[in-house]
Amino acid sequence: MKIAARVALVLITATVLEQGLFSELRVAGAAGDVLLLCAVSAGFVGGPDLGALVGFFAGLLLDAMLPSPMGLAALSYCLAGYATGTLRGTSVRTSRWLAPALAALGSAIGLLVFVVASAVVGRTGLWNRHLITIVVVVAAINALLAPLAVRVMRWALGDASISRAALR
Amino acid sequence: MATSRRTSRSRFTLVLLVLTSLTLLTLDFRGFGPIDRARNAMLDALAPVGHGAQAVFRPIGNLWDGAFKYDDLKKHDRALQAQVDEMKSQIDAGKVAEQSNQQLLEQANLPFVGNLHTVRAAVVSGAVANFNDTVQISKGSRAGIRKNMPVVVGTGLVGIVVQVASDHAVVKLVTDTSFAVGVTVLGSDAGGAPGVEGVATGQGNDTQMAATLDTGGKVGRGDVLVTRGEAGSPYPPGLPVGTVASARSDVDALQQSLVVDILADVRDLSYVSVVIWPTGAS
Repeated sequence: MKIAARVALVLITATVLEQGLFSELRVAGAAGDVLLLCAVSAGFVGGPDLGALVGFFAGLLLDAMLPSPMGLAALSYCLAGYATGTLRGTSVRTSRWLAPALAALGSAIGLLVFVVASAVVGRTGLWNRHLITIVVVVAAINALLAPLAVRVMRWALGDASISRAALR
Repeated sequence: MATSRRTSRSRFTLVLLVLTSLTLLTLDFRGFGPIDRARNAMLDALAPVGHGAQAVFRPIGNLWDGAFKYDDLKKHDRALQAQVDEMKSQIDAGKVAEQSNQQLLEQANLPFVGNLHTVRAAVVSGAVANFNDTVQISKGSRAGIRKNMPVVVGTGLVGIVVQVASDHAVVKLVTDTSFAVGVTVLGSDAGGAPGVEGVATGQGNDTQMAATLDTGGKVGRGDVLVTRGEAGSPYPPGLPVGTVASARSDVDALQQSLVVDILADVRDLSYVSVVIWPTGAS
């Protein structure tokens, strides 16, 4: 229950930051995506299942703010969190570059899944040259913020992340 | 053993969440009421917090713009200076063009000029995330705004209302890649054929849209495109959309492809007017 409340607090804060700050700080027309960062950092800290769960709710919050079909970001971010958790599980060595690298990779996966899923539901216009810019900018920003996000998510997931580490 | 159990649990969680997402998508496509209501409630709850955060972080945004868009600002400044110089030398020609444009609008009897009731609203925040060109405005259902009402500024169409809470609404801009509007050619002195019809779509580009028109007449650079306003359309006829920047049609093609300069400046919106046009509203 405590974990759910802390994760909810983190996600709501991320939503406010996304709306108030990151949407304004655009690089080449692309904005950072902190809700996606929450999903991938949850995957990094808590493993695939927690990554998928946090990603789903992070996406759902984004879906609620956008006119795009409800469930599209939830689906994409859930897969991004799951993929990051799985990749984290398969990495043998840990280094301080692992979190930024996986955050960048997970973010790219999340965005590409979003665009593919959008095309499936009939929104094909997202496949354009600007997509490359968006993927590169979001991956770079999320890689930069990953060390901080991982700490925050470690706090939010608390026992869940510790117990997972103990299981290994 | 423990690892395989964990893996299968993870997969089960994933499958469950994917199925939930697909269910939500299906329900949303079918226009399931509670989803819309939940969204609107979320908009009402988050909008004030978002605006507060935006006000707090605005200095950071301005600093960012100053640091990373300095070249753009300089370019913009140079372009404006060139425009001023050009206008000074062509002021008489400009007056003539303005008169003929006014006459053109009068001839077309545009409802846009003032026959329709509008609700003026402030733009309170820009697009959230990367794949939606939307803005939030400061009025909602309490002011009579409904979903699918067109939104304009002095120069033309800027978008359509896609989400309405009691005191806020979300407007999808003409630049959004999922935006489409039926258009017709108003004609011009350059010889454009009035009445040619087609569809203009957003391209994720701040200044231009794409359009495909039937080949019923020649369309040339500078021709004005306005909303067609067919029966049941969310747009009344005659809302200015853009001017033709370039046109291309193949010999055997049944349609001509256009690049359209958007008349409204969607990059710099402070106030917009929602046209109370009930036909498409829901």
